[in-house]
Amino acid sequence: MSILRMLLKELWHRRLNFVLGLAAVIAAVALFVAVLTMSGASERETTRLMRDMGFNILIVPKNTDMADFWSEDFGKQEMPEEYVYTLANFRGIAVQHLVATLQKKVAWRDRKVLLTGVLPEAPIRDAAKKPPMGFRIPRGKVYVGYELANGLKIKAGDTVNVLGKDFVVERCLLESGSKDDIRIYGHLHDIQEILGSPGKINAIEALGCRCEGERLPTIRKSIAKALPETKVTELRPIAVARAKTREMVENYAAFLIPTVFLICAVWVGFLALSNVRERRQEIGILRALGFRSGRIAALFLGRAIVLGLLGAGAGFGVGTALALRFGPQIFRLTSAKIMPVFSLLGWSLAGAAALCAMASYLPTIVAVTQDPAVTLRDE
Amino acid sequence: MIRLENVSKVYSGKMGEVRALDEVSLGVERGEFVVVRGASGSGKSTLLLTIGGLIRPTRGSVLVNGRELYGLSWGEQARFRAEKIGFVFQMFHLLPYLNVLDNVLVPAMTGMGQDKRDRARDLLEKLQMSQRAQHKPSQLSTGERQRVAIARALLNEPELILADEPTGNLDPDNAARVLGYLSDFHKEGGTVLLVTHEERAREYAQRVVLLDAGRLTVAQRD
Repeated sequence: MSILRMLLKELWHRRLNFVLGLAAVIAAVALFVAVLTMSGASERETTRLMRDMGFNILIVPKNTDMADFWSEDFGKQEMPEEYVYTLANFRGIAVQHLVATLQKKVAWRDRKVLLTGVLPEAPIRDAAKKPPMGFRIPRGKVYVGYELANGLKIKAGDTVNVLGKDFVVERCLLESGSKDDIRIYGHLHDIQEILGSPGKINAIEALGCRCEGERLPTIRKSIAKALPETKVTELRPIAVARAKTREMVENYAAFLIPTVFLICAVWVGFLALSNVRERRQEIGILRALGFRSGRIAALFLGRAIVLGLLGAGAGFGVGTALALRFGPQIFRLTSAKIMPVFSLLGWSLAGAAALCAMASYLPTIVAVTQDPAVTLRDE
Repeated sequence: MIRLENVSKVYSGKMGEVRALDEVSLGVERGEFVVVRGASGSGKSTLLLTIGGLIRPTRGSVLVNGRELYGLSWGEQARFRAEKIGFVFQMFHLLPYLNVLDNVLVPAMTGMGQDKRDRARDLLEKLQMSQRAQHKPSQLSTGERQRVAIARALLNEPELILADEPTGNLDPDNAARVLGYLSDFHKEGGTVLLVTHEERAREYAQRVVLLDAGRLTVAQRD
C-alpha cells in the first residue's frame, strides 16, 4: 500500500473535514479564476470608459498665451504638423494616443463656431497597438456639433459650405453640454487648407502615462526632450478622475484576491490542525510501527496537496463558469472578450497546492514532532 | 537482548514531578517471555514504551543488543522499531479508514522494501481472520480487532513483541486466544514483554516482574 492510497482512504473516511477544506479552496480558486478571466474585459472596459472621458494632456507651442487659450479654447500660436510624428517616433515618451489638431473660432452662418481639424491618431513607435482615440474624419467630410446641427437644421448627408469649400455632413453629434456643441470637425488637412495654415497645428492632444512618482513632471520632461519648442498642460479633472478610477480598480483587485487567499489559507490550516488533533493516536501508532517523520509529514502534506489539486480543478471550473455567466452582464461593452483562460488552470493547480501545503505546514510540524508516548501512554 | 540500567523517567507538570520509573534495572534475554505486573499508574506502560524507543528516559541507559537505544538517531530508532519490535496495545490502535488487510500491511510502509501481502494473508489465516480481510475495524468485534493488531505486530517478523495490556478489553476466551498467539510467537523463538493484569499470563511467562510506583520490586523466575 502506498502513502497516496493511504491518504486517499483517510480523505474518504473523514469526508466532512475534507469537504469543508475543499469548499474553501474551491471558493478561493473560483474567485481568483473568475476575477482574472474577467480582468481583461474589466481592463478594457475601464480603458474604454476612461478614454471616453477624453484627452487629459495638451501639448501647445511654447509661446502660447494660456490666458488666451482658456478664454478662446484654442491658442493662436501654431507649430508644424510634423511635431506629432516627431513625438510619435521618439523613444520613451510618457504619453499615448497623439492627435494633432488645428482649431480656430470663425464666423459661419451668422454664428461663431469652433472649426477643428483633426488628424487621425499618429501611431506611437514601440507602443502596443491600441484602439484609436478621437475622430477619424475622411477628407471632404465634416462632423457637426449638436447646437449647430439643431439650430441650423443640418442633418447627415447634407452638403455644407465652410469658408468657401463644400463638405458632406458625415455625422451630426449628440448633445455634449460643452463647447463641442458649436464645433465643426473636419480632417486636419481640409481645415488647414480653408484656414490658410497648411502644415500647421496649434495643439496635440494626448493621454498621459500612468507613471510612477510625480506624473506631470515626468510627462513634461519626456516631451521636452522630443519637442523643446512646446509646453505641456494637463487637464487635471480628467487626469485625476482617470487616475483615481484606475487606482480604485487596481486596489480593489489587489485587496480582494490576497484577502480571500489568506482567509482560505487560515481555514485550511485550522482544518489541518483539527485533522492532526483527531489523528493523534494514529500518529502515535505510526511512530510505534517505525514510521519516520518524513513519511508522517508526507501523509499530512500529501493530504493538503491532494486537497489543493482537487480544489483547484473544481475551482477553475466554477470560476470560469461564473465569469462566463455573469461577466457579460457586468462588462457590457467588452463582453465578447470574456473567454476561458486555460493557462489559469496550471496556475491554480500549482498555487492552490502550494497554498494548502503552506497552510498545513504548521499542523504537519505539530504531527511530526508530537510525542507518540503521550497518546499511547494515556490510552 | 535488552538491558535497562538505572533507568528513571520523571514527568514534570503543573502538579509537580511524577517519577514514573525509578532506577529500574532489568535484563531481557532473547527468546524470553517476561510478564510485567503492577497497579495502575505504577509505570508499566512507561517501561514498555521506554524499551520501545518511544520515551527517552530522564536518566540511565537502555541497551539493545549492546547498543544504546537513545544514542541512535531518530531515523535509526524508527528503523529499530520497524524491524525489531512489534507493538500490541490494549486499544488496538487500528487505522479506522483501512480494511483489515491494509491495517496489517501498514508496517510494510516503513520502507522495508518488500512485498508483504502474502505474509499478511498468511498471518490473517493463522489468526483466523482471513474471512474478514476486507472489513473495516468498526465492523469487527474487540477480539477480532486485537487479532488484527497482533497480525500487524508480526508482519515484519520482529524479534521482540511489546504488549501493553493486550487482553484488557477482551472477554476470557479472546484473552486466552491472544495469550496463546503470544505464546506461539515465543515458542518460535521470539521475545515477549507483556504488561498485563491477566493472571493466566503467569502460565506462559518465564519471569514475572513487579513494578510498584516506578520501582522494580520483585523479579522472579519460574
